[in-house]
Amino acid sequence: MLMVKRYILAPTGLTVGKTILSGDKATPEVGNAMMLKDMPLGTIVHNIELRPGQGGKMARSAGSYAQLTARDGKYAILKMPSGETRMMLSTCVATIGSVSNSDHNKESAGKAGRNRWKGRRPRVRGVAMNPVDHPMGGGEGRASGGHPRSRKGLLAKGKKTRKLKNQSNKHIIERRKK
Amino acid sequence: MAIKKFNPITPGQRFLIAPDHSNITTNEPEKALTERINRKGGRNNSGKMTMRYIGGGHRKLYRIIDFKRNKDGVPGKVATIEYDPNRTARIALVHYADGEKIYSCSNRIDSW
Repeated sequence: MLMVKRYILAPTGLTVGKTILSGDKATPEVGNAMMLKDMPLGTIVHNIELRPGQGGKMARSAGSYAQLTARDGKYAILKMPSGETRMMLSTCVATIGSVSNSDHNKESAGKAGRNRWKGRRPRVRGVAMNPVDHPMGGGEGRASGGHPRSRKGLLAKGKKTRKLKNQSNKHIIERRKK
Repeated sequence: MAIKKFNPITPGQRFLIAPDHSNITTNEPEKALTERINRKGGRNNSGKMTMRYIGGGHRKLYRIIDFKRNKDGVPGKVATIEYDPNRTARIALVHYADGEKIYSCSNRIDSW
């Protein structure tokens, strides 16, 4: 018999030997993929499409999930991993369950070399630079750099950086929590 | 628990907390579902540095993941749970029962 093999993102609780299904015949069980309109309210989902047929884009990193909270016409209302409440077209496909490896945030590299193996190079702090290189640079001694901001001067850490007139504003019901 | 702590027998292991790979079933990826991936080192198409602090690292093999999940109505069986160096989550290899249906156009494209 001809077999077709594919990789999928493993949700928490998916083990070898389990059967998964996608499409409108699927039931809301872990690993099954279905449209948001076919799911019961309160379902935990991951790998959510932003546009129907595009392929999953949202909630794909380790341990993340979104929850289907309500429905409004052709939209489904989801609570996203960031805490944002957002409307998604209910013909978008999502996978049931949360993404595996939820302990990823508890990992610690232990040494600098382990981060180098992952392709991350050492990062110079802004306050350690000169004023020509960074808005937080310069000063006598260990001077504070003022409010945290990026090299280009954009505010960070608790300040809003989102564009005021964004196309997706109409889909966002509540902004993300800090 | 899916993480393990190490005893401080070397300075590098003193603060190391690593994932224990107890729920990973195989170490070898499915060869047909992998691709070569090139390291960019933070450079864009004209070779200029656009992102600092990226570069080096161990060689990786890209795993082709099905994010669309458009094999509608075909039951698939989970064959393995695997590690993927390109993402933080684990990946699962799924064997689908019928090979022929993959070429038939799924109705997801008509719904555009």
